[in-house]
Amino acid sequence: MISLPLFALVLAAQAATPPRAGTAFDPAFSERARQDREIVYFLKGPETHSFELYHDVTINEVGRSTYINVVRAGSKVSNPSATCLDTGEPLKVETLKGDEITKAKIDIGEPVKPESEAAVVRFRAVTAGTTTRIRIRETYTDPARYRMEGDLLVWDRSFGRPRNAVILPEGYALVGSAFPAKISLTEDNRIRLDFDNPRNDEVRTLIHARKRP
Amino acid sequence: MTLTRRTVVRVFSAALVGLGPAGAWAQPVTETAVPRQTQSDDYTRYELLDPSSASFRIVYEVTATTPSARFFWNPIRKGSVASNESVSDPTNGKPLKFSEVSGAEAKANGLGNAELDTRYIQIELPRPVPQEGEIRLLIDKTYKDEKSYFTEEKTGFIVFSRSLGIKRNSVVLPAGYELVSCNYPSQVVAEPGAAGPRLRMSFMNIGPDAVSYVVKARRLK
Repeated sequence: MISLPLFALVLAAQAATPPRAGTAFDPAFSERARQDREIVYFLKGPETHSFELYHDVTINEVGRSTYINVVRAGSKVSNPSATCLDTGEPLKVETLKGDEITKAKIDIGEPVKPESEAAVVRFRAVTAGTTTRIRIRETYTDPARYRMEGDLLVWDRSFGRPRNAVILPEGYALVGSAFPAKISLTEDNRIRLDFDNPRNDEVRTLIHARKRP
Repeated sequence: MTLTRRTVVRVFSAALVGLGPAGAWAQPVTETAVPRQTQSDDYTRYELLDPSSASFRIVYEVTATTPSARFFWNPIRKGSVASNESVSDPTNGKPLKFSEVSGAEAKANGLGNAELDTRYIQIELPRPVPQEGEIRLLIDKTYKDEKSYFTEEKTGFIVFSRSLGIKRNSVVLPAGYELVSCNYPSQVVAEPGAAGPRLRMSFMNIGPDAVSYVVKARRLK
């Protein structure tokens, strides 16, 4: 058992020591259940390798007036649009590539390469005591991660967000999901898979589907 | 592997298993203590049979862990009619003796808190459970239960709806059906079958309560 004087000494030492990285200040300790980004993928015919998506995110940072969505290497983005979910108003979106990102002085969180691509959403700067929730819609083309193998539709992407959903193209039946999903039928008769990942890591969502006879 | 020992019956008789006060499983023992059964590693596979039969095959893997126990009891859920029961020893594939008994018989044979209105499959273990060991069992049975497996009138979907208390489970659709709904996060895997591929939904319940599992499927053609 620790003695009282020693206990007091330990407390004093803790108070004098700055927080160490790797403890509660490590991003791994960010509250997963409170993370508010969610994304829904609507798969187009697999021969197009394309899918529409929307993702919702709440902006909390005072003074912030842009949201930057860096396009994953290997993917191409088109038709970006955005809406302020609080008001329904459309927001300005532009897609920047390579030097355009550098010239616009936008930090994409990684070194800018010629092939770098980012969708930039602009909105009124967040003021103290307020937040803004936005929805970004995009169409992605990703031949490597969304493809056909024979008669099998293959979706093979990693998800970092806690909540994601994938809606199969019309006419396709689910035949495999490597990561546990809740399954439901949409009103337009498409199969929807909902993935909840409570852990602070990425999950590989490997999905197989086949056209109904 | 024994990760945790799930207590099925709450109170254990130290006398029954010969554990002294210093035994690893020593618990406060009262004069009213009754034998309890412990088990682990439960995994259940539900194979949905022809929907018109309202029947499903249950293949249940379970490990008896009560030291010195000679029997293992598996309750038959109320509302389900059991048939085609068999029990085998996974170590050698040999069948094990078993009988269906009433709650009173199970109680008389050692299951202290057997429910009198429940029937049990009473399995004769091939040897007493070692003090630091376990005996694995494979129980195969068919249940008919119209409340758990039925066809939804409005949609024509087949529905498997059952509260599942075991923590690791899978449900296998009949061949020729596609999954349209599953209310608990599950892996989905196609497995080969004589009549064509069958979809298997598999999940681990990491919560403290049973999962009210509902799966719906429709005929592909």
